[in-house]
Amino acid sequence: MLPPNNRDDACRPPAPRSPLAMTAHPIAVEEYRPEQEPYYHPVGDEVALFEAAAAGHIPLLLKGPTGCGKTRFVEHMAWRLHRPLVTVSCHDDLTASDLVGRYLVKGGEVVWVDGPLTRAVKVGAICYLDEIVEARKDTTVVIHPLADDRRYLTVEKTGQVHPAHPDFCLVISYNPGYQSALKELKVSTRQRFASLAFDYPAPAVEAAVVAHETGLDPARCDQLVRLAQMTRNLKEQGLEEGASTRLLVHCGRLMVAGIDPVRACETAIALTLTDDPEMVAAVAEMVAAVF
Amino acid sequence: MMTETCVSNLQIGRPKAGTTPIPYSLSPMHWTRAKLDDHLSRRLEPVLSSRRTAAVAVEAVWRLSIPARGAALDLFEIAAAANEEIAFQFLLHVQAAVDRRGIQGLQGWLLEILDRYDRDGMYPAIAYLRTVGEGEATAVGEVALAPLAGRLETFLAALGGERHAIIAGVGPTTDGDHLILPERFHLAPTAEDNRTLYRWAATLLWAQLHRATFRLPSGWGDSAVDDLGRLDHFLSSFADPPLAAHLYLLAETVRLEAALGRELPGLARAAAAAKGALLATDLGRDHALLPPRARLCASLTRWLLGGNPGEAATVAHLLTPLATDSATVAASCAAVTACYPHLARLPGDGAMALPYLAALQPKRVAEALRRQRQQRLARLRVAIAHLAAEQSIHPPEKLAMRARTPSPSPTYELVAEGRPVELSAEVEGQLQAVVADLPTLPPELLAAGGWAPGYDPATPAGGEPVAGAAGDGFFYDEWDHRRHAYHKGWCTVREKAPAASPEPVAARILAGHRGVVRALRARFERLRTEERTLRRRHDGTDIDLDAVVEAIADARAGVEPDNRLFTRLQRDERNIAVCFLVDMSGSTKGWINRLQKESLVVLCEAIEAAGDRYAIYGFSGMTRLRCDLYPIKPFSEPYGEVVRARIGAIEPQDYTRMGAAIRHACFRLGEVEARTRLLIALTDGKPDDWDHYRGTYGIEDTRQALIEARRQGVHPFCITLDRDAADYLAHMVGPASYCYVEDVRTLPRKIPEVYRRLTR
Ligand SMILES: Nc1ncnc2c1ncn2[C@@H]1O[C@H](COP(=O)(O)OP(=O)(O)OP(=O)(O)O)[C@@H](O)[C@H]1O
Ligand SMILES: [Mg+2]
Repeated sequence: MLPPNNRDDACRPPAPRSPLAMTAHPIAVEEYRPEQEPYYHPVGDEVALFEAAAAGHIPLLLKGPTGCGKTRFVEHMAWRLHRPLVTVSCHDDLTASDLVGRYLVKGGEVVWVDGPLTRAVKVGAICYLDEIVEARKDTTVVIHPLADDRRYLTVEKTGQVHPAHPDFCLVISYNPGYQSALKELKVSTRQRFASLAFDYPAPAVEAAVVAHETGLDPARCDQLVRLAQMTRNLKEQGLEEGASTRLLVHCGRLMVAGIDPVRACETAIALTLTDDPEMVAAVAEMVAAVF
Repeated sequence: MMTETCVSNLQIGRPKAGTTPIPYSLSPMHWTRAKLDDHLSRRLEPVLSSRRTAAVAVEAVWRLSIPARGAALDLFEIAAAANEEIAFQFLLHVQAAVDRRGIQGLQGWLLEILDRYDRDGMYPAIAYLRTVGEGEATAVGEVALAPLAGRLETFLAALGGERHAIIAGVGPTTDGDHLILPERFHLAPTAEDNRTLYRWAATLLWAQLHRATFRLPSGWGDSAVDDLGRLDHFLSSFADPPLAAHLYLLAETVRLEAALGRELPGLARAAAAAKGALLATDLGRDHALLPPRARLCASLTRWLLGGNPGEAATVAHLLTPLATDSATVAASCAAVTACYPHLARLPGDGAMALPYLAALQPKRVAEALRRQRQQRLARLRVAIAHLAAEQSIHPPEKLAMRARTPSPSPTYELVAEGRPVELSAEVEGQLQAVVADLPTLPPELLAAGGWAPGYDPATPAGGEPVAGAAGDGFFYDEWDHRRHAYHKGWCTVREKAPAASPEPVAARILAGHRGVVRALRARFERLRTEERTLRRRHDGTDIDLDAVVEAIADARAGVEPDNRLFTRLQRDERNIAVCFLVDMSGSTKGWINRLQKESLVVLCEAIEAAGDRYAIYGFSGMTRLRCDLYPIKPFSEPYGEVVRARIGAIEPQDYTRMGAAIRHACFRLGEVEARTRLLIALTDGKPDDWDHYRGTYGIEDTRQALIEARRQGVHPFCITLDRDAADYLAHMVGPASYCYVEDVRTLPRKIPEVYRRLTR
């Protein structure tokens, strides 16, 4: 007997979107380039703006709440501009050497290894520094000469200066919601970038995104988006953040796999958003009202 | 030598056990019996004696299941904060309550008890508490509002718009600010259905407020009055206004139920089931004996519940189109006009309410909505003033607002000298709130200077300018512990220019305390630095391993290795901002006032020596609309003659609404860039204001404000002079650290000392 969810279309994994999903082995950072078009539903004029900025060598700052499509947008643009994409997730231990490169001792030999930023500069990739404010301020300054009209990278250790490849494009992101006052971008860093503000898309667009990403039927997608908006209204009224588009996609996939909508929402949304039993119950009530 | 008792060990956030609520992280449900005994004995001490020990309470708790024990002990703390006797009785009866209501129901039960305690006092509350074990205390299927209200408020907040408080009263109806629901519901036979009907009624009331029931488009009612005044005009234009009002409520209910059915199908399904259950009661019967008009109304009600319209078929037919997607409030007005004659010609009184909705109150709601509109505009104005200050737009009159896209639902942008200005999140949020209610901004707001801080736009026809809505105020939420929710934008805080004393009061104080000041200055100068480990130093106390590894690799690579291989302890610049809040309530009259002044003068001298940034605000006021703060020394102003003159002029004023003062001080602290932010509140007593702020309400709001402060990264500290502080202080300032000073005369030395130990 077949297990119940082994129906033909019930539990199909999402179509592979990245080269990594298809190859089993790791690849060098600068070799990562989206080959199939990563699906991105434009919300405003951001595609045109990105293209103009890339052509004009203007670095970009993307800001917006978590899971609203910033990373997807950059992947899409990398595909559109036929450039490799180098992504670095910043954290507070990230040093300048982690970005630029360092000498390593390998079997008695000493070799220089380029960091991801240096590689991106050399091959003309889009370099995406995710959550830039998490990085220490002394780390962020290494991107300064790259982000103004000099467009070169100085590597102190090797005593070299790398002029950026004409296709090199610097993109940083941050989520203005979370930081404390101590974690703001330096003005001198910030003012090197043009800024694109992201937010959760309008309901119709968001529903279309969820439908495309999950294959869930449109009526259900509308309901998911409505639920998300309800949770977003509770931001700072018990919830730290409302449900992101990403959560809706997860939830939709569970539903497509045959999970009951209420259970799917509980798993993918309610329990993810909060640990407070009172708020979990409140979200559960919203789910019951919406579905 | 010091006579004051320091309750805290002065470590921020770590009050000594025993006098403060237990830290919950210890998981009371896992306590040993001995620990439990110890805790309860201490907590209940005021109501225990040699003959009455905590043993029975311990026994009662010990017999509970582990999860029930956790819940009961959490709630016990809440009860004990209100009244120890109630807390004691609560524990004795908690098992019975768990049996009747389950663990989930415990909180609701306690809320009911405390509500009664607030209203009627201790003995009635305890009498009620004891009924929990007796037979069926409530009618079958009956549900009470109290345990549902908090969850309902959250639900409605999620639907959007400003948060509405749910209060018990004659309803369900709304006054524009609150949603008023009956204290108990027993319309349907089962509790489940009654709960659904509560929710459905509340959601409908929410929809009335947010789906334009009270906002008629021009063409209905008198077009000369504003959108909020038209409904009343429209209904009064009928010969029988109550009948018209009833029909309008019916029409709007049809329209809104259908709209909610599309948005919240799950809830609508449950509501339909509950309505079906109502249909099986008296409401579904034929009412042959009623007079004709009442009979028709009853048939309409039956139809609304999903039953057969019977003789009301014609009227029902006129109302049916309201259920379509495109129906607007104008369609409801048209339907009322069409239906009215069918009922008006019938004899009898027809103005009866629907089973789960009571009559609308158009006048009251219009008033409230008008006031809210003004407040929203005022908040937007404040936000725009902040923005102007932030982006250094001088004078702020340069900012203008203009429509970016045309009517009917324009979007707006701010421009300064023709160039768009990037909106702050604050402005964006406030603008959205304004536009949700007022899609087209009135022209005077789009004129140049329309957002200048002092400018008050013409009040809409029929509206009164509202106290507290002026543009120079700050709005803060206030915590209502009984609702477990905030009153939104409840308090208006204004910064008032403090008086300056012509007398050389401060100079005299300085002369009198010369010795103390000299000693303090010396000690505070030594504070100017703080310690920090620096990495990659040429020399130091320890080896920096990372640096060494890197240097070896570099050396092998032939690069000159970095020789900064040590870590060193660095005494560093202090990076502290502190805001002092000084109680200027009436009760500080006399020598407390004098000692406050002395303390502040001495304190300023000391902090100047340490070089920290600091501000001093006095607070007083009366009612939530007049919470005044006196910037005796703002952060931006240097200490000098002016500040000294202001300290000299500090005089007792009215009351103490501490929560609002704390929130505003935190806001000011938030504007200063500093690694450490401190809030030190100096108060002589309980939070107290003229309008219900005294007692538990004020204590709980103050406590909540301190919790918020902590969340914002501010370290709060309270210094209090209240002699009978012990009973509530531990609870109120629990989120902060605190001490109380028994001998007020030591205050001038005490405050700098506290500060020094806090920031050392
Ligand atoms: N406009 C959009 N078009 C297509 N997919 C989208 C869009 N917006 C959001 N998504 C979906 O949301 C998911 C999360 O987006 P993404 O990972 O880009 O978020 P992010 O903004 O980078 O979040 P974080 O700040 O947490 O990194 C994507 O995997 C995608 O499925
Ligand atoms: Mg991302």
